[in-house]
Parts: sequence; structure tokens; C-alpha cells
Amino acid sequence: MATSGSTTPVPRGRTRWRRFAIILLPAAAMAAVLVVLTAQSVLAVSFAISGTPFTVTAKRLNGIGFEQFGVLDHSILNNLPGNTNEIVLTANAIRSATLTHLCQQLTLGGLTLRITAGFGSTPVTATDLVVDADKFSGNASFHNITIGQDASTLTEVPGVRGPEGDFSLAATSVTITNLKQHAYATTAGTFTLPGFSLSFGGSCS
Amino acid sequence: MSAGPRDYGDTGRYEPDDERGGVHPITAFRRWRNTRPFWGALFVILSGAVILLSEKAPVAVVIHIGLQGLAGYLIPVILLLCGLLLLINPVQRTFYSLLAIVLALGSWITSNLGGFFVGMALGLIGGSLAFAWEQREGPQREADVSRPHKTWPPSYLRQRDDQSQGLSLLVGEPGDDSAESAAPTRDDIPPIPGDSRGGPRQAGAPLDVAGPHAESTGYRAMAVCAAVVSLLAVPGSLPVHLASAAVRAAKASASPGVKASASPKPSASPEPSLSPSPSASPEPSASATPSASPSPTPSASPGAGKSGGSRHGHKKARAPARKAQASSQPAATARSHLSASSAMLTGASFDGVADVRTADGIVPMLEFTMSSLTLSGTTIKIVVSGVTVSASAVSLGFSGGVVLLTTKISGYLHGTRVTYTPQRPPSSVPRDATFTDMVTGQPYLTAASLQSTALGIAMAQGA
Repeated sequence: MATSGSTTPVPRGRTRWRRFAIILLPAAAMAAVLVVLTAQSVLAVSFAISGTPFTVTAKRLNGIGFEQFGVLDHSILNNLPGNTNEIVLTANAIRSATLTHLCQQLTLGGLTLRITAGFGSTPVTATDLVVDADKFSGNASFHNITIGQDASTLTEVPGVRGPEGDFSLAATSVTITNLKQHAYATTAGTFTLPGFSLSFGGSCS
Repeated sequence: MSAGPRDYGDTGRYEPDDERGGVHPITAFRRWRNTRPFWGALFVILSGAVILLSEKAPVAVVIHIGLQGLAGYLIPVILLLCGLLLLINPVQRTFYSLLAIVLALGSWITSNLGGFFVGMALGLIGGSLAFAWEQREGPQREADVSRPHKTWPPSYLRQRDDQSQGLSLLVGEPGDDSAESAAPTRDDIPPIPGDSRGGPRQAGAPLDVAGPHAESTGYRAMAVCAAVVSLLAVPGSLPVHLASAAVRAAKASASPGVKASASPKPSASPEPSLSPSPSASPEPSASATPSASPSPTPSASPGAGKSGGSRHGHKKARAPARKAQASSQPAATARSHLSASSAMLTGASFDGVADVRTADGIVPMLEFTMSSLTLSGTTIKIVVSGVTVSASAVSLGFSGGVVLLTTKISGYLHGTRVTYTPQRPPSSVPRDATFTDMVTGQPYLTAASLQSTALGIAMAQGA
């Protein structure tokens, strides 16, 4: 039985597409500006990646303030090798570094992502770069090196210290050529990435 | 059955309710979804989640990096919060959506390139969708008078659109835009008796300022605002760098033993990080100065608190005896040993047994000084949490005031097997000697410089 009488306006929503365009276009333009500024190494970006192993290679790394010690890293998921959530890695920390021909390759859900930078005349600069790797290789030369110091007393990279009693390597400066790292986590305070390019597929040999 | 004419409800679909006026859960969900910027909020939540998933750095590392590490996590967390609030509290969607856009732009700088661009794109689209969403009157339903126990839609949603006064002045009335509106406009809706109307859109309300003329003005004004807000996004993210550069400067100046010669980097760049760490370039050349220079420079390389040639001469004057290393940094306690197929020492001398500080107390170690040490086929094995970390190198060349402290050294010297420990120290070592199959325990090495060829570090599970 239909009862006429007062009706209740029932709310529903709709999207005003003109308004959508008005707000999205400037924001997208700003995003494009950010991308371009990063590619010109005017803007520094921060990284904190973990869980998925990735490869970092660089033709040459010059660093000031270098520390290396063992760490036990944990992951939220049991996706580390051996189906555990713990892995022993070497933390490599550099207070400030310039890198040439930097290549980072990581696999996210079946998709291979490759980030390259510093292939031109301007090198990549990074500060407070900490990489937790299980494989590390290169030809390195160090200045003022100390091997075997207690990792909790290191001062080369401010704020980065290892567990107490841990074996460490520290140097005031380092030059590494043909650097290759297989890493599980990296954090960089700042990264400027001149000539930055992000591509899918390919590998850092 | 109390169904009258086919009830298309407020979702535009035929949704007969059952006799008791209960609501099918899918219908309820659809109605709930229609009363808020659902897809915009979902995109924003996804963007925050994608950025967070791309991070997951070990928390200890992030804490050490400080403010910048925190910003990398703060931004996606706030993005998540904005998305949730857009769902829970659509009234404030203007603020949440604009905030989500600004944060998505900032995440490019702070969080793994905005979650490798995907997170940033989702955040921008979601924020724009939420901003552009508005509430409209749906097609009229039959009255709820016959079903008083019906509780949908909840009373607070039966009010007219809830845009703020400011935005309505700026944007113009929704429903004035005849090209877009298919739903009945505000003017067609008779006032509902008994409903409390807090909104400013009551028919005939004095706030009915924006008439049809306000449409184009409103859009112009809104375009200006949108541009200003987007432009503010860039300098808005720069203060993050300013703050973090200041934090680094404070940390660098406060941390002990930092070399004065090489450390002005953070303090030189408190300005926004448009100039990429300019002092990074002069530093490599500064560090190339030969590190045989006396102690002020290598103040952070503890060794035995000594450095370079000056210490070498100083040591020679001492008689080999037990001495505490008061100024040195503690040695590691982890089980470690260094083995080399051959070790060539030049300018070597045995300086006695030293008391070395470690986390487990004082450990006596043999102390050797030499002007250079060349190791071939070296392996250093360290046990960390049951895993053996091994560093290997084809060759390691230490030079410049090399000090080796070790709890045990053994090998073949001139064909005879020797083993030295602090309990059985050597009386002396030849100035230039070559050990083969040398093994040292708990090595603690300091040198002014090290050249390595094919240095590699790898892990092997199990000690």
C-alpha cells in the first residue's frame, strides 16, 4: 500500500569531474616537476627498502666515514631465505658517498624494477647510506682502517652502531671499485640521483 | 507484502525490502558507500599501504637515521589515516583530500620515490576523487512513515549537503550546475517537517548567496586555490629536509671524535636541499692526504689510540711489558679469526702483551707493530648469532703504522711452526718476516691505509 506523504531525501554521492580535473591537473604537474628535479639531482630523495632482496652495483664509490658490522635483521613475514624471519647480514654504512654508475635492481611481485643513476658526468651522492647485505664484493682501499673494534663504539657514521661486542670494520674514508652488493635493506638519508631512470626489466650485471 | 510501486531505492536498483523493513547487507553497503567518497578514500588508503609495503626497513636502522627516516614512515601513515577518515567522516573531506594530495607529493621525496611512483599516483588520484565528490539527493523514496522502525538512512545523513559555508561561497551551489545535474535540485525539495537542519542549505536560508552567476566565479576562485595549494606542496616538503639537515648538523657536531677536517658537510647545507650536499665533492680530495699525519686527523680510528709514524717511534722506546690501552676503543668479543696463506711483515716489532678493553672485560693480547703487512689469500671468519660471516680477499695490503693485536698467532716462520699467545709471547720477531699459513685469533688491526683486491663478504649458515 503506497502511502503518499512526506518523502525522505536519501543522500547519494556523485563525483564532479570538472572539480576532479581542476585539482588533479596541478597536482600531477607538480608531481612531474618533482620527477624532473630528481632526475637532475636537484632534489634529494630518501629510501628505506626492505624484505625483498635487491642488487646494488656501482662502478666506483668514494665514501667518507665507513662502517661495516654484522647484524641480525628481522622481517615481519617469514619470507627470508630458509623460510625464517631472521637473517644475518652485514650492515655497510657510509656517512657520505659519491657513486658513479649506480644500478639498483629489485623484484617486486614478479616485476623487475631497475633504477639507474649517475651514468653521466654527475655522480650520485648519498648521505647516511646504510645497506644490509648478505653479499658484498669489490676492490676497496681504505684510509685509517680499524678491523676488529667493538661495533657498539663506532663513530664513523653518526648514529649507526652495531651490537655490543660485534666485530666491525671502520675507516675514515673508502674507495671501492666494481662494487656489487646483494642487499635486503637499505636506508639513505638523502640520495641525489642525476640522470635517474626507472625501468621495468633488465638487470644490473 | 507491503511493496508498493517498484522500489528503486536510493541506489537506482530494484531493491525490495523484506516485510519487516530489514535491509539486505549488500544494499546497506551500497547505501553506505554512496554517502561518502568511497573510491577516493579507497585509493588513498591503497596509496598509504603501497608506500608502507615498499619500505618495511628494520626499525633499528630507521631510528638511527633519525628525522628523515621518520618522515618516510610518517607520510604513508598519515595517508592511511586520511583515507580512513574520508570513510568515517566524509564531512571533512575537503581537508582530508587536500592533505592526501600534499602528502602524496611529499612521499616522492621521503618514501622510496612515493612507493616507486605507484603510491604517489594512487594518492593523487584518490585525493582528487575525494575532493571532487559531493553529496546529492537521490531519487525520492517512499516515505518511511509506514515503516517507522526503519533505520536507514541514519538521521544525520538525511540532512542536506554538508559543505562548509566557506566552500559553498567559493564553489557555488551544487545543483546550480544544470549541465551536470540530473537529480532534483535543492529548490524542488519541500522542507521536511521535524528534521533538524543544521546545514546552511535550507531552502530560503539567508546564506543563499551564490546564485547562478556565482558558478563561473566560483570555479575560477577554486582553480586559483587549487593551484596555490599544489604549489605549496613543494616548499611544504622542503622543511622536512631543513629540519633533518639541522638534526644531522647537531648530531655531527655532538658526536665525539669526529674529524674536524672532514666534517663541515652537514653544517654547510642548512639551506633547502636544492644544492646536493655541495661539500661532498671537496671531501674525497681532502681525504687523499697521506694519513701518516699525526693524531688529530685519525682521531676516530682508535687502534690503540695511536696513529702513524709518530706512534711507531714512541712505541720503540718502551720496554715490552704489560700495559693498559687506556685510550683505545674496545675490541670486539665475537669469535673471530683471520687466516692467510701468507703474511709478509716489514719493519715489524713485538711490543709486548697489552691489556685490551672489551665488553667482557680486559683481555690480554699480543701487540705487534709493523710498517706494512701484506696478506695473501686471506679469510676472516666471524661468528654472528650462529652464522659465520666470512670476508675474503685475494690480497690485503696494510701500510702506515700497522698495529696488530691478537690473542693467538700461529703459522710457519722460516719453515718452523710457531705459536704465540699472551702466555707464551715471542721474545722478538724478525724485522722483516714472512709467515705462511698464518692464523690469528680475535684480530684487532689498525692501519693508516689498506688496499684490498677482490674483497668479498658472504654468509654461511652454521658456525
